[in-house]
Amino acid sequence: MSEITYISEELVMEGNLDAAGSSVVVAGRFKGELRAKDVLLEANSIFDGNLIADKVTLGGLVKGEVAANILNVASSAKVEGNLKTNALSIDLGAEVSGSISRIS
Amino acid sequence: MANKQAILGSGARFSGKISNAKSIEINGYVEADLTTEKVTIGSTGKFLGSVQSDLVVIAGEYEGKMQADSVWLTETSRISGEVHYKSLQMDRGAALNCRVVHNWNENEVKLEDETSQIQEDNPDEKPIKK
Repeated sequence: MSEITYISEELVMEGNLDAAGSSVVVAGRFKGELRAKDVLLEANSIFDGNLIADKVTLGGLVKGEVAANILNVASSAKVEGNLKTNALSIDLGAEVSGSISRIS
Repeated sequence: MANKQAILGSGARFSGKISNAKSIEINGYVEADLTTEKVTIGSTGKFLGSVQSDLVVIAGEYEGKMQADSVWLTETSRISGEVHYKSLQMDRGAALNCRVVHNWNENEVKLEDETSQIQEDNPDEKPIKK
C-alpha cells in the first residue's frame, strides 16, 4: 500500500523525507533530502536540497541537486543547480541555470 | 489539487522539522516536533516527538509529549509519553502507557488572576479621574 504524500501550500518541512515507492507532491516548502518514486513540485513551491526520484516534474523554485530518470521542467520553474537525468524536457519559459548531465 | 490537506503517505518516512502546518494527516513514520491546528495519526502512522495542536486524533502510534485541546484516541491507538489535554475521548482498546494531565484548570486560574488584577487596578484609577 503506497499513498501520496502532499506538502500543502502553507507547510514548511525541513529534513529528510523518504517516500520510496510512492508519490510526493510539494505545494509548500521543502528543505533537505527527498527520495520518492514520482515527485511533482508545484508552481509556487520552494525546494532547496537534494531530490532523487524516478520521475520528476519541476514547477517552482528549485535550488540544489535533482537526479531523475525522467525529468520535466515546467514553464513556471526557476531552477538553479545540477540536473542529472536520462530523459529531459524543458518547457518554454522555464528558467534553468546550472549543469545538466546524464546518470551514468 | 483535489488534496488540500497536508498528508504523509503510508510508505513515507520523515525526520526533521514541520512548521506552519494547519491540518496534517500522518500515515507514515515521522520524527519531528509539530505545531498545528489539527493532526491525525492514521492507523499505519507512527509519530515520535512533541505535538501542540487544537485537535489530535490518533489511530496509530504516538510517542512524545502532546499538548492539545481535544484528544481522541481510537481503539487502535498506542500512546507512550505524556498527554496534556482539555478534553479527552478514548475508545475501548486504546493502549496508553503514559502520563495523562488534564490542564484546563491552569489556564482558568491564570485568567481569573488577570481579571482580578484589572478589578483591583480600576478603583485606584477612578479617584484620579474624578
